[in-house]
Amino acid sequence: MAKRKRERPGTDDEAVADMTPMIDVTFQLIIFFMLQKFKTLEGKLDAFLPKDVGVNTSSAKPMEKLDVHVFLLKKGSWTKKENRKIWKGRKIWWKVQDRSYYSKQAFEKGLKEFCKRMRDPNDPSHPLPVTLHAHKGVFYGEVTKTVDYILYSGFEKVTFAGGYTK
Amino acid sequence: MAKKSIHLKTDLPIDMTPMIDCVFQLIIFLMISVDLSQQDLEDLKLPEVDHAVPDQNPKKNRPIVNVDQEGRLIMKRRTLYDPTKDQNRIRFQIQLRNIARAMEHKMDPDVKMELPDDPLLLRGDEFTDWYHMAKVMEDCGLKNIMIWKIQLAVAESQEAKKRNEALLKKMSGH
Repeated sequence: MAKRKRERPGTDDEAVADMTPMIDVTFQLIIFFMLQKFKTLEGKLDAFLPKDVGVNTSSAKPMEKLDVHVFLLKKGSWTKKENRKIWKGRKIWWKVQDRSYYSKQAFEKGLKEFCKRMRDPNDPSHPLPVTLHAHKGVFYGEVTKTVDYILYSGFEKVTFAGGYTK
Repeated sequence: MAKKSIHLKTDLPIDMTPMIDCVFQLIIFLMISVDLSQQDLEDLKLPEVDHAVPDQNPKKNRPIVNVDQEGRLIMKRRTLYDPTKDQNRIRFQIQLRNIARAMEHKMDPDVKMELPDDPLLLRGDEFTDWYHMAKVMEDCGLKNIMIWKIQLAVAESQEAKKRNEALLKKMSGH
């Protein structure tokens, strides 16, 4: 009878790859990338709607305010990318009281001048309101940029005028 | 002869990996659960501006209206108005009215009326026609709604990002 070869304990065990850590790491990565897409901190611009409109019949206190108009100058052209229209070559212009501005720099400079002129030296904390009129064909992006310029120039309260036509 | 007892001397190290993994999974799960409010945000390309205020710690349950390029009004993943399908905006207006009712009201000294005091966040694609946004604002001003505080959602421009990063670096250097 052949002598049975004595085996050292444990040597006939099959090597089993433990998949748990790999699956765990994969899940971690999936969740990480999911979060990457949604976890974005956005910014905001505060604005107001007129309170003395619609059903409200009470009269509002008259106050000095600046009227800013945004007009479309050049419509530009668009291409479609991922179900979105991307516009290029667009131009807008602004009218503040009776002055017209065709560049961002001139508009910002003009707003700062208006702000300086309207600011009461005896009451510098008094808010300077602006009413914004966005006209036909203007996009949301162009209006928000205008609001941004207005707020940066020193005006505090931007109110939107109604009566927009398509 | 006394039988020699076999004493198995085995060190059993406790593998901490699965426990750490589970803890991480739990942390991430909780982060996602808390972040469910982000489902209010549609995948829109917001306009980039230079001086926006970061939208940090907004009030809980702040209403968010998403307006896409076609003028569809989406709230919490539900399209409440589609200009290509819907005849009127009633569904959206009813929703706004319910939201306005649930808002905290304050007496306004200018108009001598109680008005909702909470803001509404308006999110639009940078190439969404302003007409669609203006219509939402018109709806906000309707009787029984009267929401007058609006926040326009924007993204930080590259220029602003660089400026803020430089500012943070400067501050941390001091």
